[in-house]
Order: sequence, then C-alpha cells, then structure tokens
Amino acid sequence: MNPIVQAIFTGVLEGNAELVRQKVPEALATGVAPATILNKGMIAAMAEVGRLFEAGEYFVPEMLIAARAMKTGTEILKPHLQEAQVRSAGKVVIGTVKGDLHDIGKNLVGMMLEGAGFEIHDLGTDVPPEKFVEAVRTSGANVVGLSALLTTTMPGMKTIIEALAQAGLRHRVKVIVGGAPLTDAYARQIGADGYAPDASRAVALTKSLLA
Amino acid sequence: MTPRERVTRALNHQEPDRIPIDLGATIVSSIVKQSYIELKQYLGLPLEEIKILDYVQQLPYMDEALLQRFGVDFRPVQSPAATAPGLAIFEEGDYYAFIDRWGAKLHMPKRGGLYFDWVEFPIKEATMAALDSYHWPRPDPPEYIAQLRAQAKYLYENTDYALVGSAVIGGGIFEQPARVMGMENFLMALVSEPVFADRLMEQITDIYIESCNNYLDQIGQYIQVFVYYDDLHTQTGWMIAPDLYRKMVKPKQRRLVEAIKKKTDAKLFFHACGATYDLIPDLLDLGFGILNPVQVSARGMDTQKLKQEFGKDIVFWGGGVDTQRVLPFGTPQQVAEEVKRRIDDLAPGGGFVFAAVHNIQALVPPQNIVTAFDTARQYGQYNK
Repeated sequence: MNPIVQAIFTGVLEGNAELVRQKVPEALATGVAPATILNKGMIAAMAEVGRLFEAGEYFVPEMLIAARAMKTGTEILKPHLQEAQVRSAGKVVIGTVKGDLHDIGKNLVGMMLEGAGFEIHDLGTDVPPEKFVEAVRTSGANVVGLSALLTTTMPGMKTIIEALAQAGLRHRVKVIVGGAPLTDAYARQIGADGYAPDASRAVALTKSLLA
Repeated sequence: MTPRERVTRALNHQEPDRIPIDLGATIVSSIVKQSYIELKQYLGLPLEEIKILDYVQQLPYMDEALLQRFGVDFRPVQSPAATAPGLAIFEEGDYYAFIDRWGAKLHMPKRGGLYFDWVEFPIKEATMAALDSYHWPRPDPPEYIAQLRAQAKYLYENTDYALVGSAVIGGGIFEQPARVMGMENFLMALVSEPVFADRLMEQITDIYIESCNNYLDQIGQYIQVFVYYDDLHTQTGWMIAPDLYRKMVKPKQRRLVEAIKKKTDAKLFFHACGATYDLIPDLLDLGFGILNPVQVSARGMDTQKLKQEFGKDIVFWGGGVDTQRVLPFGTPQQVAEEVKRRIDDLAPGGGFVFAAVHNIQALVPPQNIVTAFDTARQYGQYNK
C-alpha cells in the first residue's frame, strides 16, 4: 500500500486525528485518488476498528477517537470526493424515537456507518414519527435506523414503521432498530428488517440488508 | 425477627426468616412516579400529594402505607443526588428544564416525557483552562445534613427498619465527568487527554469525600448500608478497557472508599448496570460488599453462576425480577415464575436482598408489581 495511505489507515485506527489531518492533503498532493484515500485509508481502518471492538480489544473510547480521526479526514476529502463523483455506500436516516433523549448508542451507530462509507442524516433525539417520514421522503434514504434506550419509548418504533407504511414509503427503506431493551424477536414483531446489539454489528447488518 | 435484624443477617451471608425486600431504599431500586401512582390506585391506597426525591428519574418519596403493604425492610436517609435543595424547574419550548448542581442543563419532553436527560454541559473543552474556570459544586449545607440526621436518629431509635444512606452528590467518579462534559467527550478525553481526565475525576473525588465526610460524621452511626453508583458497563461488557478502568478510575474509587470506611461500619453498596460479572473481583478488592442491580438480562449475568462464584463474598441486591422484559411485558404468572427462579438462584445461604433490576419503569402493569413483591414475600421464606 502507498505509505501515505498506510499512515492515514494507522491514524484512523489509532484515533490520531492530527496525523490524518496532515496526511490526507499530502496524499491528495501526491496524486492519490480521493476514493483510494477513503476506501483503503479510512473505511478499511474503521472496519478494523469494528473487528477489534467485536474481539474485545477496542472499547467505546477507542471507537470514538477513531471516528473523530476519520471525520477530520472526510471533511478535508469531501470536496474532492464530490469532484470525483464518488458515491456513498447508501443513505441512512437515524434518530432516537419520540420521548427518548438518549443519544450515545445512536451516535456510535451513526459514526460506524459513516466509517463504512454511508451518508448519515442524523435527526437527533426525541424525534416524532412524522419527522422520520419527512426525512425519508426528502433525503432518498434507503435505510432508517431507530434507537430507543427505554422500555417505555421502544413501542414508538412500531408507530414509526406504521407511519412509513401509511406514507407509502415502507418499501423504499430498510428499517433497523437498536437500543438497550431491544431484541431480535421484538424487531421482527414490530416489522423491522433487522436488529443489531452494537454499533459494529449494525454496520454488518446494514450492508447485508442492502446487498 | 425485626427488619433490621433480618437485613443484618442477610448482609452477613446468613439466612434470616425471609429474604429482605427493598423498594425505594435507594434511587436505583425505586419506582417512577407514573407507575407509583397507578400502583397505589390499584392497591386502593390513598393518593397523597406526590413529592419527588429524584427529579432526573422522577422518583417519588415512598408512602409508608405502600412500603408496609410490600413488607419493605429498609428506609432511605438520603439527599437527592443530582439536584441541590431548592431546585427550580422552568419551561423551555417543548421541554421542562433545570440546571443541576454541577451546572449542566437537563430536559424532559413536556409531552410523554418520563425522565430528565442531560443536554448541555458546563465544561466545553478537555483543557486545564476549562477546569480552572469551572464552577465546582458544593456539598449540601450543614442545616440540610442536620435535617437528615434528625430523620436518621428518629428512624433508628423509633423503628426497626434498616437504614440506607448516600452522600454521593452526582453520578459516580466515572459517570459524573460525562454529566459535566458529555459522554462522548469524556470517553475520548480518557484516552486522548489523560492528564485532564485524571484531574477532573480527582476533583470530583475530592468533592465526594468532603460530602461523604459531612454526611457520615452526622449520620454514619445510624445507617446499615451506604450507597455508591458508577456505571462502567454496557449490556455486553466493559464500556472502557478494564486496564484503563484499573489505571484511571479504580484508584479514585479506592480513595473514596477508604474515606467512607473511616466514618462508618455500614456495608458498602455498589450500583453498576449492565454486564458487571468481570467487575466483581475489583469491587471486592475495593471493599464493597453489595452489588446492585444485578441486571439479569445482560451478558454473563446468569444468577446461578453469579451465586456459585461470588455468593460467599458479595451480597446480591436486585436481580429479583427482570425489568426490561418480564416485569413490563410478561403475564403475572411469568412474573411469579421469574421471581421464584431468581430466589432459588440467589437466596440460599443469605446474601440476597430482593429488589427489581433497577427502578420500576413506567407502563408496567400494577398487577405485575404486586405479584413480584407478594411472591418474594411468600416464596422468600427460608423455613418453607
């Protein structure tokens, strides 16, 4: 691998945003294609972060600093990617459901999906069903990610899935769900397309649903 | 056997006449306002004016009639953790809001909101300058402690209940930094700005030691249990690397425990949600004798295995009924079966206090709650 791209990979993997900030412009200046920097440098590194997380070698802080380093790189890279017409892996609308203000789980899922090359539309927390519907309609998203920490707000996921159906949008999107009280069985029961127990597995799930 | 004798035996790993029962002795083994009201209505108990103990989680002060109905063996003597006395709640758009004693802002949706959550944080950057200019909170004033002392003294001398105290005026040493700077920012600072993170946690520890000293000087002689909270885990395992915990967090917890142990003989209670199986040896090493809430739905939290491996050394306080699935969504029969199963696993030889896993949440059928506590009281007799 190109040594500068290798350094970007290491920078993301180790959460070294400063290294990434230095090396991405250097790579561009030496003529490395923006898509190569993104795919081989950053997305590959975030995939390794996910693997280390699942293996119990990385924990939440390491995942967060890696995502921060990647964000530093993508901000520099963005105009170049647009110019080169590099397309994202897919568009994902995410949010925490109505009545629930918890966001760390949702944010981690957003970061890891972004790390896998998806474009994220984060609606924030305490999001009413109509806002999800509107976001799907206007963004052209192909995935919706719903988060809930509470047994009391979890039923709101079903309401959102029904609202998407009523708006005639359900067939356009895959709906994935996650959060502390969620289970695979509950996801199936409310008509979601999938459930993941953590951010890393949410990436694998999203990829498999879009494959 | 009096409740206090019962509790003392259970906490010393001896079998009393029945399992001690807790509801509302701590702000992590209580019931939220909405379910509390529904439960009292269901039981036909008079609805007095509801006073809130913990604003964040919307936990009321428990009515004596309800505690007696369930045979609760404990009474709390504690100040609200996150909020200083005299808290002002205001409206902000679609939310109720307040500023906690640490200077963070919390919101609760006006419509359908059940809790306050942290939305704005006073420490914006992981820098020493930010810590220098941060306005640190003060422990509760002496007149407030004096009120708690009068309450503790009265309960100790005039009732037979076991008394439970706490003076940790925020989240744990690991948890509170997230409440003053945001969880993601703190978790990142732990690994990328360790000097800053270390000082933040040390200063929080200093405040907790001062607060605990003030409280225990007045009240330490009356209480049987002293409560500390620190959530370090997710439902599947450690939130941070265990080595990082042992290097950065545990020494501060040890400093706090050593200070507390100088002032009271009360058994030390550690609350940590999630998959805490691997934490138990650290808790024993620190000198904690009680683990709560024993989140039975989390990975590795098999009650049979927990009892077998650690039952001689640590008291399980909680785990009596799963609150994520069984209690809210099960039938009364499933609730009774779950309670019996947990009692079979955790009660032999003492060392078990019956409580639900964490606070009972909203939208839980009152019949399920009554079934859980009645089953615990009946099935929890040691001489059946």
